[in-house]
Amino acid sequence: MLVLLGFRFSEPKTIPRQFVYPKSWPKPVYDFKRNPLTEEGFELGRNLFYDPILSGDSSISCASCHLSFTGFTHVDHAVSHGIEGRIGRRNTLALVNVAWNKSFHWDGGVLNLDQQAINPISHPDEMGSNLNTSLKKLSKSTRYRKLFYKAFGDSVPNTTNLLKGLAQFTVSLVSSNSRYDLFMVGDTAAHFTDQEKNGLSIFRENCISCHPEPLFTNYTFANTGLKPDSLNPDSGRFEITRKPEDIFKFRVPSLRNVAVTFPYMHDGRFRKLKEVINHYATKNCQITNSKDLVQQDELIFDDHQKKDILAFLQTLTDTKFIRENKFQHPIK
Amino acid sequence: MVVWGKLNFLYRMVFGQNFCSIYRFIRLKNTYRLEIFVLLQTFHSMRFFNIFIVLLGIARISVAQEFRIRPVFGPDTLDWGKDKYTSAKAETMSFSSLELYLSDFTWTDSAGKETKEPGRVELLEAGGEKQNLSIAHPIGSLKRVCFRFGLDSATQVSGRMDGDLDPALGMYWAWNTGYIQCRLEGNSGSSKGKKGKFEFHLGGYSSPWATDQKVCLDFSNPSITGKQDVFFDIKAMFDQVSLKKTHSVLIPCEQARQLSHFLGMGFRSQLK
Repeated sequence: MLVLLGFRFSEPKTIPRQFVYPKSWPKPVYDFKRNPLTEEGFELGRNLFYDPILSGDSSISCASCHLSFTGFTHVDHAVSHGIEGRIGRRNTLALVNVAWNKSFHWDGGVLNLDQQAINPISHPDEMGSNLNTSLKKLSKSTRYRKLFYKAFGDSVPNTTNLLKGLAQFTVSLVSSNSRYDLFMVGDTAAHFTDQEKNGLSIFRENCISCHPEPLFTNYTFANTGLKPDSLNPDSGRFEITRKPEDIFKFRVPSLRNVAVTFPYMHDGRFRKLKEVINHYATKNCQITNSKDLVQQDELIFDDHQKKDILAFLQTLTDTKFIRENKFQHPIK
Repeated sequence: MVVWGKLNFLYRMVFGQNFCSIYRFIRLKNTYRLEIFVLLQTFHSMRFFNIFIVLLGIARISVAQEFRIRPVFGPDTLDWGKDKYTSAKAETMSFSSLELYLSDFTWTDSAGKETKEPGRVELLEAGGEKQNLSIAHPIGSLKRVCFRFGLDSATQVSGRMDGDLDPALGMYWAWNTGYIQCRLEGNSGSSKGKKGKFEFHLGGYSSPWATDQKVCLDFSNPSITGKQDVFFDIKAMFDQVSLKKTHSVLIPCEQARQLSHFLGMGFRSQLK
C-alpha cells in the first residue's frame, strides 16, 4: 500500500517562465541555466519577498525597504531601516534590472544575485536573522512547504532553494517601458517635449560616460566628489578591495525610475534630484572614474539646462513596471 | 531506492524533515559508508499537537575507506581547550576550535591509478560542537593524495550553496562574498584580544590575496584497509606569527594570504 502510494507522487511539474527584455539590450549577466525561471519559483520568491517571516522578529520583509511603487527602494529614507527601529548606514538601492548586475551593493561586495539576499537577512541592522533561523521558521509553515515543493520538488526549505526562489523574483524586476523607451522605439503615443528632447541631448553630452543607455549605468564604481560624512564614515569600495584608489568609490546606480527613488547618493544625503544635478554642476566636483583616476572637466549647466535634464530624467519613470500586478504583494 | 525516495517525500510533506534512517542509508551508499541507525527522533506534526515517537535507535558501524585529518602541534596531538602549547616565538596557547575547507581531490592507489574528484568540497571541523575530520575516499590502498586547501575562485563565486558550501554553516562572509578557508580560534596569555582570545578567519580568493593552495602528500606505507591519517601541524603558522602583535585576522588581506600559506605547509603524511 505504502509502495503504491509512493509511486503516485511524482516530481511536481513546473511551468517555465520567460525572461523578457528588449531585443536591443545587451544579454543579461545572470546565469539562468543554474536557476531556470519557473512560475512556481517566481511565486515562491514573491511570497518570500513580501513576507516578514525572514526577519528575526518577523517584522521586516524585503519589501519594507524595496517598495514596488517607488521603483523598489525605500523612498524618503536616507538610509535603510531594520528590525526594532535600527538604522543602517547606506541608502537602499532600487531593485531594477539586476539581471545585468555584475556585482551588488554600493561597494560591490557581492558577486552573485543568488548570494545577495543573505546580507539583508543576516545583517543585525536590517532583518537581523540568520539563515538557520529563517529556514527553521519557513519549514514550520505549511504554506511555505507547499510553495517550496511546487517550485523545487522539495518541501524542506534549504539555503539554496530559499535564495534561488528570491532571486527568481528579483531577477524578474525588469523596467523597460518608460516613456523614454517608447520614444526610442518610435511609439507615437510617447511624445517628448522640446524641453525633454533638449534634456536628452544634454544628458548624452555629459552623463553617459557613467550612465550609458539603455541601462543607465556602466556598472563601475566612482568617487563622485561628495564630501565624506564624519558622522557616518564610509570608504565604500575600498572596504572590499582594500585598494587605496577605491577609497570613497561607490556603485554607479542605474537612473531608471530615478524621479521616484529619492533620496539620492549612497548615504541618501540629497532629497531632491535638483540637488544631485547641482552637485554635478559645481566647479569643484571632481569625479574619479573607477578604471583610472580622471579628473573630469567640471559640468557647468545653466538653469535652463538643469531644468531640461530634470525633465528628461522624469521620462525614465516606468509606471507599467511600478504598477505591475505580478510584482505586487501576493494575495494570500 | 525510488520507493524510499517517495516515502521520504511523503514524510517530508507532512513533517518537514527527512525520514531519516533508511533514506540516509541509501543516500550514503555511494559515499562508501555503511551505517546502521537506531535513532531516537522527535518530530511534531503540523500545528495541532506534538507527537514524540521513538523511531529507531542508532548504532553506527563505519567500515570506510577513510582519510582522516589529525590536527597536531609539532609532535603533539591537539587537545582542544586544554593543553598549553608553545610556539617557536616562546608564546603559550590553547586552541578552542578549527574549521577548514578542503576541495578538488585526486586520489592515487598503489598501482598508480588516479581517481579525480574535482568540485568535491569538504568542510572539516574540530574542537567546537561538531567533530568531523574524516573524508571517505574511493581508493582501497592510498598511495598519494592531492587536494586544495581552501576553495578556488570559481567555486567561491559559482553561487553553489549546497552541502558543505551552505552559507548557513557559518563559514561564509556575506558582505564581501566568499568562504572562510580556515578558522582557528583559541586563547593565549600573549594575545591582546579580549580575555586573551585569538581568532584567525583566513580566506580570500581574489588577486593578490588568494589564500587557497594545492597540497600533495605521499604515503610510504599505504594501509590495506584504505584508512589513512594525515597530520595537520598548526605549529607551522604559530612559529611565524607573534600573537603579541597579531591576535586576529578576519578579512582577506596580505596577512591572511601569508598565514594560510604557513598553515598549508603544515599538512604532512607523517608525524614529525
